[in-house]
Amino acid sequence: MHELLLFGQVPEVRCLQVMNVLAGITAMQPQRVIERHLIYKPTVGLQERGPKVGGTQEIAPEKRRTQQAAQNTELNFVQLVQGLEETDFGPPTDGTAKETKPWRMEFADLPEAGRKAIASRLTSTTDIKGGDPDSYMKGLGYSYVDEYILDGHRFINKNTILLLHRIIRLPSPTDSSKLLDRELPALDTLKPVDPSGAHLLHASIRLSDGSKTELLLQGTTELQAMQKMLKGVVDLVVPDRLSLDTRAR
Amino acid sequence: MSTTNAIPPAIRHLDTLRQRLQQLSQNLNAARYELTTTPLDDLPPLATLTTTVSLLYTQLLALMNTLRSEEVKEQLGYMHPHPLPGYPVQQHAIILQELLRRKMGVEGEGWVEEGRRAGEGVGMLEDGHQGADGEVDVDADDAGKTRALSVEQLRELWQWAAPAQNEVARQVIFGEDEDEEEEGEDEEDETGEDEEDETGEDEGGDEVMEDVGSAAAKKANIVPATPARPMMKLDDVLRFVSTGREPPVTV
Repeated sequence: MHELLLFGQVPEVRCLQVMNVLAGITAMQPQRVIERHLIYKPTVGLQERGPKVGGTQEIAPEKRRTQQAAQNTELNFVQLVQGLEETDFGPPTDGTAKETKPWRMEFADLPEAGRKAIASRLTSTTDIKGGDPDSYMKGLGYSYVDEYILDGHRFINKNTILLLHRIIRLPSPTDSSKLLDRELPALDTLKPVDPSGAHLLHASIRLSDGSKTELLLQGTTELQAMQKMLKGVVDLVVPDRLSLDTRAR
Repeated sequence: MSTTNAIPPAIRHLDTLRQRLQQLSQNLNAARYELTTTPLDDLPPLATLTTTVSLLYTQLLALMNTLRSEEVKEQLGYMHPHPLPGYPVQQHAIILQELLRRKMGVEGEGWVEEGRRAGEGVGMLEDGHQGADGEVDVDADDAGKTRALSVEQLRELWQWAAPAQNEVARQVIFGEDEDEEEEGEDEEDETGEDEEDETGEDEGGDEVMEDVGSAAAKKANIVPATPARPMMKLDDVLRFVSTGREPPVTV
């Protein structure tokens, strides 16, 4: 899957106003979105890569090449994402154990170079149906780095997804064995990463196939139309490509 | 020096005159263009107008000085246009006629006459005084009898002009600041009202929007953990989101 995206920043004072504007534009009530993101860093393959050997004319054997390709795809940060509700935070209220929400694995590539008007990147999402996602990730050669809570509201206008959210820091887990099932502190007690409390507006369009030119063109046009419509409300900009760099070094 | 010596003085004087007239006509054209392009019920900004007028004034003065100097006067008196045999008379007859004309055009005569009459009355700068308006004013006080405008009239004029000009200048120089202050006061008033009577009144849509803003601002004020701070750089936030890299600590 391909994602076309733009980012904007909204100071906390204006968040409510911007939310009203977005609700007006999209003609829908804001949908509350709370997600828990676990960032995993690849460990296998990093040491094996070594310095690049340049200038060789040698044709690499087919097997080695596929290995390299497999390695290269694995050298990005990957996230485990869990959709949550407000009731999932804080200690259990009525004694009943909280239902574990399903996890999914999300991957986003480095945005493509040379696109000026909007950013576009390759993404992929895999739903995890069962088992222990953390051990699965460990088995794939990834290790846990950090996690955060994405707290915000989602709007949909035609093909455009508008996600007004802020990033909240989660304290490091005390018990690494119960990483995924640990009790989350109450949402109010958590502090946002940006101390000013500003929200991000993530405007995106998902394409089923990024290699189809007409699809890419249509998506770009629609996203730019949204950018133009929101001009004066939120400045949607192309983020610095390297700030969305998910490659591990 | 050698080059200026080589050129006959008559040519030199003509060239100076030509330059002065050219500059003047260029600037007059520019001023006229400026006036015609601005909307009908509006004038160009005062600063532009002042610059244009002072520029034109300087150039007119320079032209007048050139024409006044004895040498040039003498030289110009001697000058006669005489077309060379090679001049294409048939093609450029009109230009030739204009060149050979010794008398001024009817319009020009009218202007000169008008100017002369006005000049006789006011007698501005007649005695070699070429100074600012203030000096003229002083002169008017000294020898008001010979002026078209009596001392009384001049005083009246200045009494009207000084406050009027002052008002305009204040708008130009301090206008924005005053507006901003007023806006700030308005906002304060509004928030003050909101705090006083929380019931609120039915107001226009804009007001509702502002209420939202002020409500959020109030919320921000109430929560001590999030004081008003500059926003973190977008890149830093995104970097944390992508790879968990700690954003730089902002104080």
